[in-house]
Amino acid sequence: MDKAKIYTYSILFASTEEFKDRVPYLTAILEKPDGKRFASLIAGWNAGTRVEIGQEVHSSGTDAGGQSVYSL
Amino acid sequence: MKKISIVGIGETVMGRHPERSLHDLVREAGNKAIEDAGIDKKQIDALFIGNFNSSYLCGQGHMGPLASEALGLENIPTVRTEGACASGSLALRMAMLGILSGAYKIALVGGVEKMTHQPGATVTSAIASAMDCEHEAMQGFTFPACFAMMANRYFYEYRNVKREMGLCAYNAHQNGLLNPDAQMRKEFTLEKILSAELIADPLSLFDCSLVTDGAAFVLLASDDVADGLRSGRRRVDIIGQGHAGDTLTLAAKDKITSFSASRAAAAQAYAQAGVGAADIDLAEVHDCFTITQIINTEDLGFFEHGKGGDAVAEGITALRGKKPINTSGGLKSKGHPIGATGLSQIYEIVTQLRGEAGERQIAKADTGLAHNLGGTAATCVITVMQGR
Repeated sequence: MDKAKIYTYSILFASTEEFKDRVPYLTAILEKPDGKRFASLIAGWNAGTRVEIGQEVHSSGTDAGGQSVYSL
Repeated sequence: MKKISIVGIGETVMGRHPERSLHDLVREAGNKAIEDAGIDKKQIDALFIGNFNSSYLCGQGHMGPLASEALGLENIPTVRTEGACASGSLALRMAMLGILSGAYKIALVGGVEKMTHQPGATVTSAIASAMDCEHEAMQGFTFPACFAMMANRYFYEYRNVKREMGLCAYNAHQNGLLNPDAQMRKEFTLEKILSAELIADPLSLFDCSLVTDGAAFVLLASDDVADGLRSGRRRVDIIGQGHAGDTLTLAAKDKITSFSASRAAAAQAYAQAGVGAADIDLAEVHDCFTITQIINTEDLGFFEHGKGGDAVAEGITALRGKKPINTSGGLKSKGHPIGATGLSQIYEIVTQLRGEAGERQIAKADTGLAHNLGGTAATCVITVMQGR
């Protein structure tokens, strides 16, 4: 399974027109084992869920655009 | 470098001006700068204007001729610059290069933004267009989220400075109380600041800068032209400037707790000015978020990396501290009219160097610096000014 680690993250309580109905949600910069970093919205976060830098997340499928979706 | 003087400055009060047009804001600030310089409009060779996103927020493009018409500048050449929150200082940079090349002797430089008439989510979307839309905004990133992620990483690499971030906001509002042009002239207790609602964890409401309508202008002149203008007050020269960039995406940056664009622009500006960080009496630094202020003061060499928060806690960056930061109130309290912000910073430094800052005047103001950042630190312009 495709894995990555959380390089940094934030939980959003306000957002853009496109994402405002999804708050609160978790976004992160993820780091692949080869050191490459990329932005990703993270699925599977609920209020009170513990998140920390270095935590491992895994790919849980692809979105409509064919991009990997990562989950806690 | 050949000296260039800032011979005139003008700005609107920053704030919510839903009833005022872009033209009106430009007319007020531009005319104030021209009158302050005491020159005839016909002497102006070119106009450079910074504007981030009036196309989206106001349905208005082609800002150069809009500004020159509002100011009655007839057929002079105009250029609109865009570099997100650094749009205003990019206009200053282009005007500087125009004068240094010999093409112009006198250039009017302005910035304007009108934002508060739009709903919050629309403003957030407009601002989010300054990041990589495909790779970051479409992953749910917002600007508060980007800087929140920097803050979380900073807490991880150094230590948690949430309280010191609150102190940055506290100081900004204390300074803004003394600035008649500031948007939010209110006193807030540190307790209230620290207990405010979260916007993007760990950033809460008071960690974020304001949404602002406003304009700011400066008039630049080559040294020989400035010599012929009215005297009677202190002359302010630009003695060094730096301009550097970095990746548009936050994820691709080597580090997100220090900005390479800031470090590169600072190195250029200090080298050109022949001064170092220790010689700067005061600075306006880009506090789009409180964590950004802390990182900026480290990148400028005022404090060691990871120690910027300590300096805030020790009172060094407060108005009467050893290194006053954002005496104007900064983006936090004076306001953040995006395209005008870089010039609003210059306005403050010139006002302080002239000794005209009233109640917020600092005792020794000979050399000042303005640091303006665009996007997630993808564009940076740093300007060093000196009074004589």
